Amino acid sequence: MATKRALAIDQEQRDLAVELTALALERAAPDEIVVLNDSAAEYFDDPESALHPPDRDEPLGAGIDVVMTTPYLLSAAGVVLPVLGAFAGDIAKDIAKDVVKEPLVRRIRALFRRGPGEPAANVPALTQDQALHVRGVVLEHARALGLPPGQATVIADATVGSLRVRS
Amino acid sequence: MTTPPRPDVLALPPSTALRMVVLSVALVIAALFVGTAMHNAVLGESWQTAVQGCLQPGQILPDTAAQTACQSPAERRRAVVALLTASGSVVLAVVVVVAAPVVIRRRRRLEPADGRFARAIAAVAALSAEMGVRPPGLLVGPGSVRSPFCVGRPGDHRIALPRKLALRGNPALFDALVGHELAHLAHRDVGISWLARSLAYVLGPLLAIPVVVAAVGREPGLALDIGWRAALLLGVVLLLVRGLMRAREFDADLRAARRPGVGRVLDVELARRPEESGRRAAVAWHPGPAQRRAVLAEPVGAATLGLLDGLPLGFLALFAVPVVGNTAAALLLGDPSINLVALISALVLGPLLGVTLGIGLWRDALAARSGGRRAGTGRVALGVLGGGLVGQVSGLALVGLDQAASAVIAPVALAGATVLLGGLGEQWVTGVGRTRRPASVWAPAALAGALLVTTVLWATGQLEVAFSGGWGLVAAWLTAPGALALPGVAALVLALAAAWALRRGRDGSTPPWWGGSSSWTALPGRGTILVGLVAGVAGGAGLALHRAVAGASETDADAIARFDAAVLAAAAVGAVVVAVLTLLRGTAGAGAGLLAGPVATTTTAILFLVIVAIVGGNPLAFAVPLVSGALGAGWLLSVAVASLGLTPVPGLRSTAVAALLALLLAGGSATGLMAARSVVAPGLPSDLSHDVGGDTVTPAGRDGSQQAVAPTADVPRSLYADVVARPLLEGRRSTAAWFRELQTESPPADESARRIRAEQLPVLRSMLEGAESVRPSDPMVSSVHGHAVTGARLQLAGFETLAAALETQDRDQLATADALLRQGNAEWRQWAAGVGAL
Repeated sequence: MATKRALAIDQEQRDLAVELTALALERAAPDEIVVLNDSAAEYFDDPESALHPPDRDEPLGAGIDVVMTTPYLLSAAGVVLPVLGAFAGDIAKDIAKDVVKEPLVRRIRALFRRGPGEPAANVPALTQDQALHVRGVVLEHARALGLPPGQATVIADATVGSLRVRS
Repeated sequence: MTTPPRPDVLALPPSTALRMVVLSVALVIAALFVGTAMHNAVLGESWQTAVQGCLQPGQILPDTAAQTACQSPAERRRAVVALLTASGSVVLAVVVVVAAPVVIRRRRRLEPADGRFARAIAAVAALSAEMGVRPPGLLVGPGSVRSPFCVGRPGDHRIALPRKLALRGNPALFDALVGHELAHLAHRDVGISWLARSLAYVLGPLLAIPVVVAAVGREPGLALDIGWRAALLLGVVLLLVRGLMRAREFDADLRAARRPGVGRVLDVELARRPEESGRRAAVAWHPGPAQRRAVLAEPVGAATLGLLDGLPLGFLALFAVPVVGNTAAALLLGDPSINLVALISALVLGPLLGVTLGIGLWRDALAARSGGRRAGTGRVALGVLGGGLVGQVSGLALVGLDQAASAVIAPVALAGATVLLGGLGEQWVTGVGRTRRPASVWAPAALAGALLVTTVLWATGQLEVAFSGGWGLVAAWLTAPGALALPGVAALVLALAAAWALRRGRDGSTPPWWGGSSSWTALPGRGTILVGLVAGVAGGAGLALHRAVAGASETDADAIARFDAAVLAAAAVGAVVVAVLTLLRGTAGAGAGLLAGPVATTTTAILFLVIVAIVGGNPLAFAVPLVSGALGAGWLLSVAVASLGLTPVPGLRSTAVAALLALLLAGGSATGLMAARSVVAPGLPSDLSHDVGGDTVTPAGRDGSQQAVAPTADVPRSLYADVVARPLLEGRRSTAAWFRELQTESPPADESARRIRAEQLPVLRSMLEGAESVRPSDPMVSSVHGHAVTGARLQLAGFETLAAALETQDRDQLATADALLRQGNAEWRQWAAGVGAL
């Protein structure tokens, strides 16, 4: 029973990560959306090899690598979601009691930015400082993954850009 | 201002294709080596017992046929094992090529592109049509596949794309990388590349098997012997594989970059890649990004050859000759065609390696000319020399020979041949500016390469054996009429090619099919014919000077030595010209020497004939053997001296300096060789010669002794036919024809007796003397040669008896003479049959 619950929680986190990644992909690599499910399945199956494939000197390859952005966004989502979880609790306290009763997953999901424009006043959103914090966390994580600074910035901006931020 | 079009190095057969040929040769040779080693490890003892049983001291079998019949089962088994193993290796290689795609698709989880990749499928079809390639199927890999590559069986190739690329989010990058892969398909290098990639897995275990078998069989010496050779062979094969893998990337980049914009995209992407260094860079399958960018910027870089390109070629050529030769000899034992083993080895390997070397060097020469740099002929020749030395030492070529001398002959000659071939290419490409097709370069390059390498491989094998018999045998071989027919033909064909390359009217421009800007630097090869003529005249003058000082020859032996020395002197004059041009003008000078050398040789030879005519002789009787022999010998000496092209040269262009040097050296060497004829051409004394006005000269005389070697010379089996049998056969035919003529004329008996004593007996004595001077240590050769000696004795006795019978009108003596002549004829027939079976 406990295992089932753990798996369910795990599945919810995965769904959240995929959801956030899909939003980020719209900004960073819209062409990859069509294969997001495949990419996500591979990533969750073996995150390490998705992020750090063996450095092969492919004898018959073209010698030029073309790398997917999706695994890095999924990985970034993995470190961002707990942060968002913490922020979501604070935000809910400020908004309404009913919201506090909602499951954490829904509260985090509420922070995802699903359309253009400024979020309404009664909608949960990150403050500027919180957004900056999230960006910093993602940047640090991307660098830790060994991504070049340019790509790390793309990952961080796309992730933060997928969240509701109050100006 | 318009930018000149970039040189299209792919207009000529690309490096990839040439390296694929060499790699295929390497695979077969390695497999034959494994087969032989396997036989030696498993069946070596029984083979040794069988062969030694046929060669027990004092129990030589009655004739050659019996000897070969005794040995042939063991030899055939050896050849069959080698060939079966070779066939097995090739089959294994084919299995690898066929199975690799299945394994790769499964391991890399490649799936056919579905509807989500429709844009990619359409784009691949469009690009394929544009590049003239049949549209390949499209596979898409998971995220772990980051670089596109080709996979599939021959005729059913697919392109495997990383998922990201297949989404075609970046069309420019898609076109560049897919274009690169389609270029591989256009070059048909996918199958061989998979084979090359997997070759170590095929060859490694194969090469290890005989080592393990020998070690398990408690033969550590044999295991070690096979082991180090196998390791060396594997190393060279891996060097070839690495070269192929790198060359194919350059070629694919260049073909893809024919599409506008692709070169720029590839350059940007390559610039992003980190440069490997140290060991990783050295063993990497791909060329470094900087190298690829350099070739994209300057395509002629893909045509540049260097030391590492020559190294495996030299190694393979000299490692392979004995491997192929031994297998052929074992198969043909007892067959008359076994005499052609050396030629068979040369014909199997020479064309393949020669075509590769020729096209590669001439392409490099054209690239160098259009790029305004020096051709890489010298570097390649140095590699060939190094590889050749290693191949010679690690192969089986030196077994049974005087190793110190023989070890360097073939490598030096092969390096010299490389210099001549590259040099000819450097000259040739200055005259192709108005040609319309690339075949004007690659076709003659292939022909010249095949002819040159084939001839050199054949000749060096003969020469190595001759060297083991001392200089006398070498001189006899070099001056034997007909023995050097192949080098003579090569000399003539390559001289014609050089004459075309050096013709008036060439302008040094690059042809339209090559593109690039024309280089108007000075044309090499000016004054070539003048230098050749000056040297030739100097050589002739040197011979005339000697004749004037030394006077007419007083003995037949001296007359014969003078003829041989004249052949060698004319040959040396040609070689001197090649040496001078090479030293002064580098490899291009050596190429010009292919014309100047034969011009000089022919001029000296003709002047020698004129001298003979002036002193009252008949030069026409030996004009053909003199000129043809000198051309062949001169060309062989030129091949050796052309290796001087490996040394740095001052780059002197002055024709006057070249002509002066050639004049001095040619005149000096011709006089010196004639003066030292007893040393350089140690022939046998002869009682018969053509009287040529005080000079008695015997070119290919009736006696057959003209080619005979120093007294008590040991002639190896492989040279017996050329050096001993051919002249004896000529003498035999000549004496028989003379006697038939006498019988037709039917002069009175006393006149017949007088003519027999005056004209026939000296020839027969000379033949007997020549035959008796040869003492082969090879029991089979000795057995065959014994018939020649007996035949010559019986014939001499027969004609002496016949002359006496005719003088005395003694019928009994006449019958005795007839019997002796018949017995002699029978011995000669046995000898001829034995020679055929040697």
